[in-house]
Amino acid sequence: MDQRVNVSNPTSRSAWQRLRGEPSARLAGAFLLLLAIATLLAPWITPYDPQLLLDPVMLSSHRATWTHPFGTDPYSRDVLSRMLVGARVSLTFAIVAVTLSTGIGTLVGFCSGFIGGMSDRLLMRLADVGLSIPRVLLLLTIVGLWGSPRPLVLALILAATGWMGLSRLVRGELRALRNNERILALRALGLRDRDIVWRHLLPDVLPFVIVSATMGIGQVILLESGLSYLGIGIQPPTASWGTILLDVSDVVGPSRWLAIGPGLVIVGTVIAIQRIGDALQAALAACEQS
Amino acid sequence: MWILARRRLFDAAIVVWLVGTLSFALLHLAPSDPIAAAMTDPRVAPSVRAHWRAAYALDQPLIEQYARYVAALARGDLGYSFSQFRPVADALREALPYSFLLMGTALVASVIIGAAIGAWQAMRAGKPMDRTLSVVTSGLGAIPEVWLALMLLTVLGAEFAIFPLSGRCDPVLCGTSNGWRATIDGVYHLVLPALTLTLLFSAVFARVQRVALHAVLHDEITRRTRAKGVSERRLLTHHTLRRAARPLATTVGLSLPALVGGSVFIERVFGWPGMGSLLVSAIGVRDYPLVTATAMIGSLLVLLGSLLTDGVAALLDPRWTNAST
Repeated sequence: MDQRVNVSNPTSRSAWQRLRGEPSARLAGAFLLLLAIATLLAPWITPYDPQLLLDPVMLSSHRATWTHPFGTDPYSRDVLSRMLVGARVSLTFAIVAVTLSTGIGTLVGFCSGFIGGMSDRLLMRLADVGLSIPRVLLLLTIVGLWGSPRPLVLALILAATGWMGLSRLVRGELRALRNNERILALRALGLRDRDIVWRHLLPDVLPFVIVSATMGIGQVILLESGLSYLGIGIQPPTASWGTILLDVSDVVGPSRWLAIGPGLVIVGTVIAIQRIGDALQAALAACEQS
Repeated sequence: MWILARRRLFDAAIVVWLVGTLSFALLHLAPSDPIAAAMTDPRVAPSVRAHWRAAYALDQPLIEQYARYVAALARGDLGYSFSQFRPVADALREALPYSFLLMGTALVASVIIGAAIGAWQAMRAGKPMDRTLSVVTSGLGAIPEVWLALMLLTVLGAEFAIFPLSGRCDPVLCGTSNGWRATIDGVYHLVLPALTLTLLFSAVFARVQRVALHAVLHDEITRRTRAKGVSERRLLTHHTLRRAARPLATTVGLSLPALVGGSVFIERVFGWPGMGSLLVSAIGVRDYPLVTATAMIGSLLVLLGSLLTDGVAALLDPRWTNAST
């Protein structure tokens, strides 16, 4: 949109250098790095046992204090500890789901854009149908009929319902690339289709795929929190960002602000991810121009 | 134009068929059938289950069940809800008006507010206010619907107690035919859920409108129109806004699935008795026919909505309306 890329020396800088030159992207990257470290070290740095009911009488839904910076949930568990452990679940879940959907999306995009013909028409029609069905309704139906799935299955379902946007993007790019002179020249030189795809087309569309995957992770984090809030995502007592929101959402009285901490962490994370995605897109676009 | 419209309608018909077939397939691929799900008590005699299976033709070959299903759908018969002891269509007829009210209000408000903010930004692109608003609108895209709803509820519902916490009407006024007071009460209960959806979707529309209008404002056609001496105000109202409307209309159509999905979460938080609440409660009691029918109707409504927005987009685009075909 309005990415302001440093134009001091636009020709000689790689996308990575451009990305690092963008202050907001650096800030977002630092935040995510910190989060990643905290997530990896979660079992060792949580101040309390995330599943332990500390004091069901005195600490049930207690508001934030110095000893419990995020407060405690209705079961008197420490919310900060649960957020740290929940980050593992939520982020792993998002990464797995997005990796799967990105894989499917890219594959379908290639089948559609490179092979063309009948498979193109069929797959794109399928993508159109998929895009026109509300994803949440489909997920709710599946959960309603099969019961709450295990996280990996849920990630698979999210992937199966989330590949359409990327596949259309990849297809569009491929169709533009397929008949350009470079690819025609490669074909004239006698390169096999397989080599053209792996060595030339895939690297060409990779930037789009990476940007889309980055944005997708943010989307899945949001979706997970919503689904878990409805009680159909990650199942309690496993801590995920969504189940934590669910746990603290019914609190009334003086501790009614409990949901603000977990929510701000989610929002901060998603903003950071989107910021990186935006900056990456701008950096890649600027690279392409120069 | 008519060729394209016909093609679009044909596509839509295929999607309707696919959605119906998909919900039939899901219903039958599910690990247990509607009767078993409704009668979980092991003391229910097998003969009773068999009786009800036969009554709903669940013992027939799959192909015949499919034919019956399609025929029933064509008649508007969506099945029988075992948890509500009434036809699914009745339950939906009760819930749909509330969903329409919530989503309709939110959609109209978001389009107006989003378009206005986006246009305002595009006209002062790059200025501090534009940047601030861009940060705000993209930030809103990073907020979980549920959390935004909970925060609005905490601030405006609990902390300042301006708006009611839950439901669609005051328990005293509910059901009374107390004309204008009931209406005011309904609007009062609608504010928070509609506000949540409006905040989320106006941000989406504002982003699109900003980019679209910004591109139009700086293109060749606008430069020439301005050179002809058209006033800035007229330029905006008669030329650029109209030319920038197409992307916005397309985005509105594309965000309908997200609107329906988002309203499921919002309805749940605010106890709004719409389709989303119906669906979530049907899942809780494993009422298979209600689950599939609600999801199916929701998908079909989205389809209808996107057909409508396509039509509006076509009408807004001078290239379409002026074309002779």
